[in-house]
Amino acid sequence: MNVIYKSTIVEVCPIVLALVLAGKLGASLAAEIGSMKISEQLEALETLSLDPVGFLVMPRVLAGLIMLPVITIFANFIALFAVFFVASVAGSWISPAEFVLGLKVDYRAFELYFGNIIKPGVFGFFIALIGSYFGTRTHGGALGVGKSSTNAVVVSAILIVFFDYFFGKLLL
Amino acid sequence: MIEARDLVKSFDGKEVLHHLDLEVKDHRTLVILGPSGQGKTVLIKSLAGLVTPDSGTIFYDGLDILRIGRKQFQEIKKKMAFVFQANALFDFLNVRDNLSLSLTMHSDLSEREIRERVEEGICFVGLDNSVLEKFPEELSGGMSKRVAIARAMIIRPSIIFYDEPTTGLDEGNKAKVMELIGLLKKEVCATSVVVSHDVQLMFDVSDRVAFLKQGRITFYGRKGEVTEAMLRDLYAGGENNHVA
Repeated sequence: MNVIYKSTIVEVCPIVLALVLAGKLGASLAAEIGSMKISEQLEALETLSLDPVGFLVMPRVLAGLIMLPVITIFANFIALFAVFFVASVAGSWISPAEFVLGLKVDYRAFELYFGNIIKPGVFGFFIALIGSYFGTRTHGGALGVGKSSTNAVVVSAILIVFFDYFFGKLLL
Repeated sequence: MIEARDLVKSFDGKEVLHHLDLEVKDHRTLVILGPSGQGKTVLIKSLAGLVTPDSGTIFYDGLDILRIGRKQFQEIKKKMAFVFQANALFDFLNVRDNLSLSLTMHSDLSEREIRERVEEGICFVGLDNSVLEKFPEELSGGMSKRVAIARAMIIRPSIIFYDEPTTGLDEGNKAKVMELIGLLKKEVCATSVVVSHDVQLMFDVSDRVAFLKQGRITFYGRKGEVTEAMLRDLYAGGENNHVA
């Protein structure tokens, strides 16, 4: 039980969720901001004396930083509940008391914070930042928007895997 | 007064603006005329500070906007409006919020005053208040252009830039836009710079005319001095011949 708990909280949920969101959110941000770039909306913001980075990028990066941990906590809760349901309720392989006891074995609070807050926060920050960065660098019409979206997803995914490995080595 | 001195701008080694000099006196309308691909948009965006030239200077009332601080230029921008070729209305905001954005962010006006200013702006361009709740994607090309002009008008700018304001519009909307440019000039007494390939627009709204060909100003003067031969020469070999 302890292995399932640790692998779910620290590894599987944060990284799978981050990779999925890199595909969905990263591409969507790059496409949204990229479309605004090619339709001159970013320049229009500048002429209205508004900084496109402050107005468009910062709120999205902040949202990524805050919301990815929230979604990860939710996903971890669902995952553990699913394991509990299969193992203790539907399958009756172990009792609920054994399940809870298994969770407590070698429990380290830091791992809980690390898997639910630190890692997803860093991933969310990079997904939003990279999506926005490629969006603001878009040029070349609809084709350019497509390229920006692809680049955002690829770079985000590579960085997520890299940081996952790096943080794992450094902090655990 | 807006003055550009010795402007040079290149993209990928190709010189788009070639040591260009230009001036626009206060409360006057300068129309920069030229065929497509001659650097008109690069020039107007350089004058508005959206594109940074490789060399040269641009003065607003004697102040070099390329060398002043960002904050100081932000202050100047608050008195500047730009009507983009593709209108550049923010597609995540409805028309009301598109119009009020600048006032909400930069002015001390109350919500009621902003609402009144927005309604005055939409009325000025001949549109109904019902348009205010629509999103840009629900507007026709002509309506979008008018909303873009209203967005420029409601901040009471001292300088207005228009990038190809009549491109892609039917004759009715074209006439309306030309009328609005003239009305706006009277209403806010702004200094206006218009770039276009539309000869009719030049005759209708300009105080001064400049011809731009291959990144160089080939003529600068009054519209009365423009002859049919000069226009033929300007558009010779160009892809769009709009000589009336």
